[in-house]
Amino acid sequence: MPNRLFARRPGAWLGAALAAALLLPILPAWAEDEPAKGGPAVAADNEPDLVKLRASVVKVFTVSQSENYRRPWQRPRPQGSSGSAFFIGDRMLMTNAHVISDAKNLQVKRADRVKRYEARVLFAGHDCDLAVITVDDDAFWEGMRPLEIADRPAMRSKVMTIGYPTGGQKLSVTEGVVSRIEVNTYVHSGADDHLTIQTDAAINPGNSGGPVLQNGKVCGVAFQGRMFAQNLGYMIAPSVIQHFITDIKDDVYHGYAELGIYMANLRNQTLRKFLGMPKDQEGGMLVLKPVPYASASGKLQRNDVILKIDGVKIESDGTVKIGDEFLDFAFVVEGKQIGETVTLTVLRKGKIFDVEVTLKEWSARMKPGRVYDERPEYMVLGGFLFVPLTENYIGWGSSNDLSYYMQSYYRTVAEEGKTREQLVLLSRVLPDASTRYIRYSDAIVDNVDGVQPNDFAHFVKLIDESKKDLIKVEFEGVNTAPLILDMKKIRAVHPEILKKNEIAEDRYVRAKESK
Amino acid sequence: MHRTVLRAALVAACFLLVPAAGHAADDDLAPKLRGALVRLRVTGQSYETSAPWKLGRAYTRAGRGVVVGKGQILCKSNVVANQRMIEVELANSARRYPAKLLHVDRKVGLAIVGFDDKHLVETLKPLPLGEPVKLDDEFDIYQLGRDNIPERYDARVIRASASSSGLDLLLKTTCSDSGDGQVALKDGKVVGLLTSTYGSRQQGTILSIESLRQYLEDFNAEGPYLGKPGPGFWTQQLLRQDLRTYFGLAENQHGIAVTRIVPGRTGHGVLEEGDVLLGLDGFDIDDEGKFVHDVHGRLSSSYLLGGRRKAGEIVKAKILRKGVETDVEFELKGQKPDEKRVPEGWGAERPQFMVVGGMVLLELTSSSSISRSAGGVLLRRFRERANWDPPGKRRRVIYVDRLLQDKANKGFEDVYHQPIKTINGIEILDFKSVPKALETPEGAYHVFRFDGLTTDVVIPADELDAINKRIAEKYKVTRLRYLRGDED
Repeated sequence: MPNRLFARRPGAWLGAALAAALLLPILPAWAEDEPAKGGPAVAADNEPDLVKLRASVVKVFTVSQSENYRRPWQRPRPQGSSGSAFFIGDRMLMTNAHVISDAKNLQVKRADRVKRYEARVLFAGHDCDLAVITVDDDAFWEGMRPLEIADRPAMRSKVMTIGYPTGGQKLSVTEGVVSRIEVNTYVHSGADDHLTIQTDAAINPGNSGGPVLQNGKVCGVAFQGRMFAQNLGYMIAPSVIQHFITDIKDDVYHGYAELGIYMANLRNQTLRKFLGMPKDQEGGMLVLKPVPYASASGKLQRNDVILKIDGVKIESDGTVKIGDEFLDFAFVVEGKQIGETVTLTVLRKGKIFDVEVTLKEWSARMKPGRVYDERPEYMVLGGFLFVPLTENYIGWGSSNDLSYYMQSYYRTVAEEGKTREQLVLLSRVLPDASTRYIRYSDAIVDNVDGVQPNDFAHFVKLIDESKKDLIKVEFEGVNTAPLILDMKKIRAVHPEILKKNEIAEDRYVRAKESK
Repeated sequence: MHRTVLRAALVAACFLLVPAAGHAADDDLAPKLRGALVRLRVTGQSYETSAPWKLGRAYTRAGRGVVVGKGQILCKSNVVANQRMIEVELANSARRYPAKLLHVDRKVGLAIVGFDDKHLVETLKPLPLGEPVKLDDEFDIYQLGRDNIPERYDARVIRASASSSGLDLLLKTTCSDSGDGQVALKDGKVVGLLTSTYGSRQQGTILSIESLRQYLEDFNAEGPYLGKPGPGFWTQQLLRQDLRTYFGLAENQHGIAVTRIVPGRTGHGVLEEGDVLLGLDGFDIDDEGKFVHDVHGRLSSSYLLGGRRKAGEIVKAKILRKGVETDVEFELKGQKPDEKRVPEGWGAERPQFMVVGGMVLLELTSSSSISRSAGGVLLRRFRERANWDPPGKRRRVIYVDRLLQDKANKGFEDVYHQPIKTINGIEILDFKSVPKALETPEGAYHVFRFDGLTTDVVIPADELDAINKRIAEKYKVTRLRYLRGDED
């Protein structure tokens, strides 16, 4: 089993590249809707509830515009797409975060109406691919019945997906059984692992955000599929849905808590003996390293063995037995909110004791995974474009090496208090007479006049507050020449370079988060 | 049926592609050529990287060579790579005669094959070495073609390019066979060895007579072979105005900046980081690091530091240090393979390895096949820095290449392409330190710790031999270790 980071694995999305979020891109020809004719469509005799359910499952039309991480002052062209959503009460429609991420225009349409209503996002949880949207027009909500969230469905039990998948305009219903339940990577962020339910009910692009029902209750939210596989659809488990609903009760979405431990299995008997584990001691996971700045940092150390989590025994492959299922023990933490505690029973040097860990929010700087609805940070300085290294930036087509560098950096090197929270890149050099012969691409900044920037905001501050005419920026790598920023000259050419490249704002820098 | 037709068509096509441009060799030169041109048939075989106790499949490669001294055939180094057996064929003959490798320098790209077979000694006569050829000079390329019949092709120099390993000349040539050691002759004298051709462009490259001569002189001189100087310091072009300002160059000063110096190598103790190299060996250096050669025009200055010099020679330099021009001189230091933390990849020689508890331990080399796993990233960084990092304390990087799975190493499946940091608390500095560290278990266990983020591997010390034996039997591992000094 690979070394695992509890709940979030940096780079885990690489392995899950074949899984795809089920957002349906809208082709121009589809933009116009066929008016719904007559009353409710065929409601099978054996499914009397379907007629009522129809009104609660709506189609979502999104026009989104993501960010351009290579030319961060520009936006790519808007794109249309569609997904599904369902009513959960309190004027709230639940859908997938990937259905509404980077949305510039959002509309919803009921199956039993012709009109499209303007909608807006209330909460988006990109770490669990769930979101809640609302419609301000009172007329929209008339006669809508909220769907209840059910418990986790049993293996092989029958489920029904409802939504607006590709292949037509009207509501579509498919049926199948629960074929697998396990903790899996959510591809939307690419770095979050949560409980996932797999079904053979057809789930296709456009189903995203639609409910999966059992006995008229929501037992999952359809959200991703897998390419090159058949009859494999995935839904978000009820526990994840409940977690999201609980989280937003205070009107803010905080996200998932992180235990933050790199771990390895303990299947080797000799290693168990070496670690001083009694012969009759079963299970347990080995701590390789607590993630810097995360919840367990400072509480656990290398070669600790985690035996139990909240009193539940951890097997030697990192699972816990919940009911009849062995689920990744991330599942136990998954049920908790930030600020809650987890009790870990730890074996260290032959002694067993309990460690209480208060669950913290992942430091945004160290958090792996893609982000949405956020402007990319950047700074154009004369002909030089500086950016922080993020998964989004890597996703915009940088070399593989950068991605592996990032992984190795955080996994192997990072130490709390000693490691920078964010790496800064000289992304590229804009063509200009002042940058003639200067070639850099994705050069990782080591220091600015000898000072190592802790994050992007710090880097910008070092440049802004330097009183020197010549600032020396050194890079990582054995033979990347330093860049000498001739500030007088840069100030002179800066306006012209902005104009030439149609850069309206020369920077976007978020204030440093307080640790 | 289809296949037969296809094969027949291919054979026909091959016949059609026989070069038509070759001319029969000139009449008066013919006897001399017949006595100097050879074809080499090399049987190569190397050890399998995935199972280093095993020899891989043997294969035969052909190349060409030219006799340049008594009992010496000069050829390209890659022709004799991984050689187990070398045979020589002569002009207008199909017979093969035994020969043996005398020397190889992979950096220069040349090798010398020797022979003492009576017939060869009687038949083969060396060709004399000629003078340097320059831009626009015309000469001939000779090779033993089909059926070992000597063939002649036209050639003309169109450009020179130099590096720290030597001087190459780009040619316009009618020879379209792959460049594998055909000889360039002007007035009956050797002026180069063809190393590559670009058929579609009618171009080719020869290693210049300057480089051939230097290699042969070094090999034939008394005392040990010195070879080319190794890399010593890193430089930075100074075309960019920002760096010119930073390094304090005046408008009329040109050169390259010294950015890093490897301890113990060329320039160390004389040059300092931040110096600007204005001149070398009597030549001015421009902002791109080039100089103007009397014969060949603008060439890389690395040629002055390595390409035309031998290790141990002294070179003069003009530098700019803190705004003052100064003359200095330093020794060009050689770099023996042993002086690199990450040495060149395996040749035909048996690679060092150990199989311990199912882990296959290898030494990181320039040709190790490394994955993009988390541990692989570390190995790749070691390799990238191979020329830069002085070997220091950690002379070699020993890593787990793969795991032969067994109940003893169950759960350690992720330990893959991981550099070993310590065994039983003892730092692993090279392969020799592995068996030494295994002599002193940590209590009842052998404990392997790695540079990367992975689990420690623990093996019961008193069971190690039995585990090794079991794994060797299971996976048909014919030997559990080969370290230099072990019986071959």
